[in-house]
Amino acid sequence: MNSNDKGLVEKVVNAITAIFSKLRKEDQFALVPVVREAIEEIAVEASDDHLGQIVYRKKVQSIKMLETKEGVKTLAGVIQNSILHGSLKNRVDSAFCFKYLIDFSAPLAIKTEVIKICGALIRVVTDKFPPELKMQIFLALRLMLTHRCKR
Amino acid sequence: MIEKQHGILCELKLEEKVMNLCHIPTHSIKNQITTSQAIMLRAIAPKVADQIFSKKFYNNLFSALKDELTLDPVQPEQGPERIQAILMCFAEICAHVPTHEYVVINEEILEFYLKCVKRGTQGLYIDLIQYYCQNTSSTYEKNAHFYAANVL
Repeated sequence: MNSNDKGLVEKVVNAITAIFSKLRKEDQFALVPVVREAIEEIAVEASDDHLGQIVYRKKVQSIKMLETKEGVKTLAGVIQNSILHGSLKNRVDSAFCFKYLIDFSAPLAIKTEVIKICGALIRVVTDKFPPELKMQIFLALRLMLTHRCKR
Repeated sequence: MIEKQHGILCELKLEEKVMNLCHIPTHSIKNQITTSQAIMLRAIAPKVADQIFSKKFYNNLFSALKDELTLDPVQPEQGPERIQAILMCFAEICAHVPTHEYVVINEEILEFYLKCVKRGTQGLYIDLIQYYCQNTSSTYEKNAHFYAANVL
């Protein structure tokens, strides 16, 4: 998903779209942890043992798959469903994924998904959920404000 | 394909004829499948897919395609167009394998992935998964996370 070969990145987007397309919503949720792991392997490293996963250091500035509209759209759709309807573990993974999506995407690629992402995050954060989920959602919203709302 | 002859149903066995024409039973790496042969073989792939794991003759086609796609090391003179045609034929067969043989084809796909990683041709696996997921009638949700993890 972070190859320098544009053709390969395009193939990855098409393949992921194809994998998701025939799965029921509940089965799609199971793939959110896979997406999270894949992004963390490529782009994220822990910056402090004490802080754990809350604060991370970026290994790369952006992920090539998230520089395309299609790439962001494919992942955002599934993650949005997962954060709204998944189990608590799925929702936490989804919040992490949204955080990475906001942090590692190109502004133009995520532009059309911003309202949907914020809507889902705000909708879930107002419900009764444990702090581990709410904290990740607030961090994602903070990233949205600091990174994507710059003029 | 079936034709009615003198009131009796006769099988034309066109797929066998095409396979013989393309020298599949005597296939070897020295005697490679050409682009046009791959295109012809793709046309019979849905019919052949039913029996690739039960009849040796049809399994020859599957093995030949797999051998060409996973030839190690990668031959520079292979030609991307020819490889793409062979891959599409291979994907067509994988996608049309009957549902009850899903476990076997899944193992083949996994093996294909490992060989692609070894050769550095992950693009072939990604194309295969895309076509397979779009066209298979099998339910692959149990293994979807493997496919997704390997693609990503």
